[in-house]
Amino acid sequence: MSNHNFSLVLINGITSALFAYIYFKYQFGKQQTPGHYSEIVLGRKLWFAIWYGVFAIYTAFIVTAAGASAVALGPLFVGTIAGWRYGLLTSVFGVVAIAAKAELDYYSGVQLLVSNYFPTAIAAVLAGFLGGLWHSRLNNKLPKIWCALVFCTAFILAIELPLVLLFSNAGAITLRGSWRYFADLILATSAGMVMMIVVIRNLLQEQKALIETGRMNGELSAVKAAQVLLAKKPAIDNSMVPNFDLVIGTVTAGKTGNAIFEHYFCADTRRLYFAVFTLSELSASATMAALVCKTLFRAKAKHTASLPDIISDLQYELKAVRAEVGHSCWFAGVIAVDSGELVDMAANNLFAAIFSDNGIDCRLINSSATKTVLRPGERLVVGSNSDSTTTDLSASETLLTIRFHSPEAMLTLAIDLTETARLESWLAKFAKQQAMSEKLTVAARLVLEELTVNIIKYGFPNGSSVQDKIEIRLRLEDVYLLITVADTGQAFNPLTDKIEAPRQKNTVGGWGIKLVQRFAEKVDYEHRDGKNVISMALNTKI
Amino acid sequence: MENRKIGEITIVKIPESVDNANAGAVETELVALIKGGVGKLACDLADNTYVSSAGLRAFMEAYNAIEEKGGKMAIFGLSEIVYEVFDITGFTDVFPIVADEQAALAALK
Repeated sequence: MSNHNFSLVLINGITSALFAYIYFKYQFGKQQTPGHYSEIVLGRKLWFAIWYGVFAIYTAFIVTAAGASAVALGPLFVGTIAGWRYGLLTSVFGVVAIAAKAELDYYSGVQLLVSNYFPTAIAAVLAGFLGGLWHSRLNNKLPKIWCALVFCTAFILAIELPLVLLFSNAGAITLRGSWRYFADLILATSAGMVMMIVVIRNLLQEQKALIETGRMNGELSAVKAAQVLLAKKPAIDNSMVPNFDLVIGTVTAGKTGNAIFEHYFCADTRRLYFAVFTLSELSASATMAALVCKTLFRAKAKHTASLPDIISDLQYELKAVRAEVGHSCWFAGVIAVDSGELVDMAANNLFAAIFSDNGIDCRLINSSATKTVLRPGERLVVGSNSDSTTTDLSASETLLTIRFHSPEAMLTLAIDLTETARLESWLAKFAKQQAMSEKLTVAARLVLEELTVNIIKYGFPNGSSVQDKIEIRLRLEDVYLLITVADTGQAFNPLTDKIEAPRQKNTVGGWGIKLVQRFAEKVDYEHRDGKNVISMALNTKI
Repeated sequence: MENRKIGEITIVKIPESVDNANAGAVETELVALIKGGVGKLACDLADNTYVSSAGLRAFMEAYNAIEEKGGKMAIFGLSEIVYEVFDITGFTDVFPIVADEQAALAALK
């Protein structure tokens, strides 16, 4: 082997290794999924093109014998990694270098076209294309070792050799006048490939180890957060069907898990906050997030769902998913998943689909500072483009909070007129959460007050015991607000039975029930299980 | 409740809500005013958003009291739904229920 060829092997190898190292280090630095690794920023691609262009110029001028291979190798590499456009761009450097060399060798422009430099220039351009084709064939997956080696040899045989044969009279610059350099060519190219592959493999192993450490740290922090949570778990007030705020946090590891849960979960006894912790790994996030939503909606569909039921449902589902996706996750009011970019489009679409399948319109809150109640008539836009670009995923913060308030509520009143004050504030809260119109709210308050006051005043002529109570349930549907009022008093149908109250001039006898009948589109009475049950439907467009 | 006099007419500001909890107090206050010599009473419901049948009773008792003395009473400034409450229960036939203060003053002259 000549000194020139030896230096070519050396330069090829070192360049390839450097190239691979910089490229993948840069990619891993971004902690993206393998699926994302083709997303190189433009500047980097240009940088690679220039790097290999310089290499091509060097080889074209200095390494006479195997120059063509080096000129074509640059476009090939860049094309493989960055696509055909960048492969071609790189080949321009090589072609310019060849043209310059030809100029020095006293060829005119026209002569150059038919000279022995021409095949080499064509080889460079084709290599750029071929690299680009290979880039799309790889479908964003890393090439395997054998694949790279076969490819490298095939390139020389399929592109350079036919060209040499085609222009055999002049001979390509590659093999100027002789076949004796052919073995050197293969050696130089293969050496570069092998060095590149070794670097890639090492980097991949390094990344795998990093992910594993991150996952363990993240899991640990979720467990700690859950312990804090369970220790401080407040009693849940069952006077309302539980409402949920789905808090999705980006917690890479450690400290903020506890803080989030202390802050959210322990602050409000009426709401349960689920958190999806995003650890350092990727891909399961969308599945997990989707699952949480599904479970919440299922819970909502079951009218009687209690908090423990919901939690056990969620645990069950998560176990199933854990088995399926093979990612680690942990749950105890906390959900920890191995996940990455929650705002990526896959997750967004899943969220949007699930919410819309369940007939729920809601709003995304992308900042930890604001939380908004979901309102009917508002659509969910989770992580629109602007949201995802402005969210720093590496920061430990709440990414989004989805507040979901059950369209149902229940209240139990004791047989005491002062209890009606509680009724008003309870209804006001429900109305606000559900964005009920003012008129509907007033109408609901009217029918509830009229009925409960009647029951308290006349339903227990022989006195009431502590077991006696009035149970009120609300359920907001599309067209109607459904209200039921059940009491344990004596059997009495307010729609037909008359109240025997002392009458006087211009008295109010029966007004209450008149109002009820006016504002409720439907009113039914039945005596069931020893209870008076009045069911009403108020038109929401009242 | 705030009240002011325009000529011989007394205008009383009715609270935001007249329900089972405060209807008794509203009634007592209105009847006290009437017993204290008010013969022409205008109730201002501009701030009011809610009147239940207990509230209606308060207005009816006030009306009964003022009628006994040969006085007059009107109410004004009702929201749409509160007007409906008065309308359904037949109050619109008992005493003038008008849009605003001017109309109330005219009705009580």
